[in-house]
Amino acid sequence: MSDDRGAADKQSGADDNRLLMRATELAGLPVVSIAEGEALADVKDVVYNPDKGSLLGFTLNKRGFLRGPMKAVLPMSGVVGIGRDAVMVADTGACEEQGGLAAEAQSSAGRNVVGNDVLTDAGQRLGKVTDIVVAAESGEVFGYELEGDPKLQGHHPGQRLFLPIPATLAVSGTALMVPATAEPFIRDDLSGFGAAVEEFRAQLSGSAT
Amino acid sequence: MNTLTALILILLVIAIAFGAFVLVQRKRRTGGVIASKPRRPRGSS
Repeated sequence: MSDDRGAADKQSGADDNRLLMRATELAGLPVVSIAEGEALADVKDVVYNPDKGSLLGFTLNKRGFLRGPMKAVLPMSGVVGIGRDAVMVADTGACEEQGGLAAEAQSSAGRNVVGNDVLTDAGQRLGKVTDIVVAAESGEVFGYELEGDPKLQGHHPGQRLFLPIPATLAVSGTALMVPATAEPFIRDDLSGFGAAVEEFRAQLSGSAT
Repeated sequence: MNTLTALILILLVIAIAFGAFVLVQRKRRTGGVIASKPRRPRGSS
């Protein structure tokens, strides 16, 4: 019984102290095996699924300054934890050379969203993507970091802004579409951004019913 | 052209080749944030 309560407290604590990270902060982090206690590779690309609003996994670089990319990829199912300093996996078996993510990463190469324009469904340009914001524990994609459009009201021109996105989202090769209703939920720092995302999604689900 | 000049030229070529190799490797290692391609349901156009 006390174990159950302990687990519940831990869960609610995790919700309150959610670790939000920029995806580009994950690039270059070492992938560390818990079983062997050594770094297996470095993170190269962060691959995410805009349809589901979640991370799919990572492509990898060999370790060392002059080493190139690896064929093996790391799907999210093999990740035990993501922290500020490393991506933790159980053992070397977490990385795979063939499978869904390897094919996905190959077919989606060149679809880097950094630098893409963000447009609302009302036809307004909000800015240019500089990063995506992810929850480290769950791999859920929360929103975009933007370089705000100079015409965007209420913010300084070129200011870094955080835009919440719906749980599912349409992404083309060159532009990202978001609902116009997301604009009031734009924040200019990461603190409180998680709450803004939840408010925005609650409003969307409320208007859908 | 004396021996010293030839040696300097050879070192210069090696340095340029190494610099190019480092730049190419750094570019290959540079990552990004990739959005996977949307999957259309079978039968949809």
